[in-house]
Amino acid sequence: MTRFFSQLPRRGFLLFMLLGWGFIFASSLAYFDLGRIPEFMLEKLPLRFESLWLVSLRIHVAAALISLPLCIVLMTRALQRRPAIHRVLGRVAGMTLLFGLVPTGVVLAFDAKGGRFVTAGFLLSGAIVFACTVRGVLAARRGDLVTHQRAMRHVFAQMSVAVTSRALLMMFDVAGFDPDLAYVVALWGPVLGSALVVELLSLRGARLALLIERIRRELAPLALSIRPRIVARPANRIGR
Amino acid sequence: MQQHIEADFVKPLDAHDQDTSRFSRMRRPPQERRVRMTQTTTSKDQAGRAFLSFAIDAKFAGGDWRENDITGCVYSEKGDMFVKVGDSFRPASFFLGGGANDPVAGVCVVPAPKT
Repeated sequence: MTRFFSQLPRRGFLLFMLLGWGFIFASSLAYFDLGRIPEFMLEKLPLRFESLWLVSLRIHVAAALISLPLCIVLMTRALQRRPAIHRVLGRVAGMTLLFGLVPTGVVLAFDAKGGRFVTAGFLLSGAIVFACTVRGVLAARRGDLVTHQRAMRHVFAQMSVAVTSRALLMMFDVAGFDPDLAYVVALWGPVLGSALVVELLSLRGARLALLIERIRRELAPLALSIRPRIVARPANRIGR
Repeated sequence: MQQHIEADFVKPLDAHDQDTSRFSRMRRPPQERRVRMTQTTTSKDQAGRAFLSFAIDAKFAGGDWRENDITGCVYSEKGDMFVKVGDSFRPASFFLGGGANDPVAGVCVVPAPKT
């Protein structure tokens, strides 16, 4: 029961992401009607490189629709316990991010509404995704799973900005916030917030690892005569 | 003319906004729109057709009116409407998702007097 509740925030977040992905999927289908100009483009016009921007938008959306659900399943314990499948799906997600999502995101960032500050927010998010994907892949190849986990959490956290940012925009709209300010806050808040959450989680994980290591070291001399598990958490057993 | 713009452009635009997904980075649709005729007398374009310029103001969340959110012109003879996108004018249906509407040259612009 305790385990169920301790896993609840994580599972709830993954479910929220899946739901968000569903909404993004539904609202993005119109982008692939090649005979029509997407409405999202209307508010951007005039654009300096209209065709490049439109192609980038379509690739960016397609890459996001593929990589976000992949990242969600890659974050589940069920898939992490199956390294072969995790590796294959991880490669597909990594390639989609590095060669699809991030480069096209950079192109789109320069025409983001809200000016340079918003452009900087998108570029920072893209840079984190790119750098952490590369770092995470290299770490996995050399078997450093702690670094791999931390890097990939950062990637997923930045991917989650797509959902949290849109959810915030909706909330700000309902609350009657100034739309221009809301757009900036709804971008920078999730970008910095999710990076901070990952760092805090990693710090907690690192501290826990240190604590376990300390207990292991302190109990080591007793290991020959007493089982450490029983010292760390005495078992209420009768007999034996 | 103002009623024609409201009925044939602003109302369909509002309805179109209602159908648009809110779970998007697109600009939130305005809460209200109002039409202003920015000309009281007609002008004539290159082809000699008479038109009137208009502006549509929009009220967004936060309560402030944003003037000239959309600008354009309406032709007095057939009621054709064009909206300004960048430096060019496109048919008003462009904003209603009515297919790829390329810019139309020479509309809504009074030709410069010949020297």
